[in-house]
Amino acid sequence: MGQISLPTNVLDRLKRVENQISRLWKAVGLSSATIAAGGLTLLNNAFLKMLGPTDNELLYIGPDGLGHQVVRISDAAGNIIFANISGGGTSQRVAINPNPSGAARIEFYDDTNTTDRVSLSLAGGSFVQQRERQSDSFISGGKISFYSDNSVFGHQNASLGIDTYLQFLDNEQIFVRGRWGSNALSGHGALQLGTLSLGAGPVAGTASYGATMAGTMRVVGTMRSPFADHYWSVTASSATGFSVGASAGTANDFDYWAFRG
Amino acid sequence: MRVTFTTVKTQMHGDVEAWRVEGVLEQDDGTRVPYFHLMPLDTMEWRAAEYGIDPADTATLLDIVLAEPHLSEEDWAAGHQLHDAPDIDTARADHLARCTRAKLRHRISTRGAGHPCRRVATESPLHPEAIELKRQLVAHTRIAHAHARETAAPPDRIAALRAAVARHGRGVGE
Repeated sequence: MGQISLPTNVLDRLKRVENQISRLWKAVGLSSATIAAGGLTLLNNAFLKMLGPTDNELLYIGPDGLGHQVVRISDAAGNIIFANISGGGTSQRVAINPNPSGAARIEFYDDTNTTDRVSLSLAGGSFVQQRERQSDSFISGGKISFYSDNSVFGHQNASLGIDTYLQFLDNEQIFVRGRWGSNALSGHGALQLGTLSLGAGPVAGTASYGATMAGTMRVVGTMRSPFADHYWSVTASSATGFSVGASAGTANDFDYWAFRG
Repeated sequence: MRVTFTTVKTQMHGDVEAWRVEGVLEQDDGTRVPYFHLMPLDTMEWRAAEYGIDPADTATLLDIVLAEPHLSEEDWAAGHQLHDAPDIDTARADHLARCTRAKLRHRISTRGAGHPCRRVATESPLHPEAIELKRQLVAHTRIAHAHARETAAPPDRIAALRAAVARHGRGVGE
């Protein structure tokens, strides 16, 4: 068998070529990198970005050139599936679990409001969405609450003692806190209500709604007067109002609910 | 029946400030009954916005708001309604016609010199921006009504029952 003798420097050159190829692979992204300890720190407002096969952005964490910090994840088609942006301070942003030791919650902050926010939280099996003060999380507006045995849709301001709500219970009872009000709402208000003080009869009166309602209103009412010694009737009801008359009596008050059916 | 107005003042009706127009209903047999009409101060503003009436034409607006309580069901049934008329011009023409009929039938006078109701005409709010905003609200509701008419379909009672069973069994969130 023949033998080929190679000079020592040829083997050294082969090893150097292998190392060069390895470094080249790393440079063009054809190998993985593992950080076994320590971490990755980007300095001077640098960004972290991951691109797809057509240089399409899949992940971006860093500044957007407008002074905002951005976290953005997109799918291969370019659809954003998660994004969060902040300009710092009180600007518009979404904070997810900002206090890891507290209840699981998401907080929405608005550019134009420095005192309040909207939160979604889940604690003890109860889900609550509410407008609240940033300083102490006291409710300061609308709320939707899903508890284990009841649900609440309402409006509350804890510091002012205001609480208006519709509550649904496990036993199928429904509670309403607050008071009914009238609003024509350009003809689409569901309810017009009040009292028409007719005074001594015989007398007739009309109550107009202001706006023309979208359809004839149906009046449910009752006449209050000191004695049941006379008769009364709703004599007309239309999209603009209703009329009622009483035959006698000294003090006739007509309490009414007019609903849009 | 004849309607005669004698005095006009304002009063609160619930949370709303309203005109109180007082007068007398004189029935055909001569019986006279005291009468009053409460209407929110901005009622004429609504009619200007709803029917596209020049807010400067306060005489027409006053005629409308004072005649409306005396429209019969037959009056309302004749012609188109505000929210379902093919266009506002048609709605206005039909409403003016029915109000004119009621005004004549009840001999409602609104335009005499020194008429007490002139105060309603001269002091009712008729703010241009409010009228435009109300006009837009009415336009939106008319669009909603037109859509409802176009998509109206008889209820599918079987589908409704299926949905009720599914809702009861699984919950709508699933």
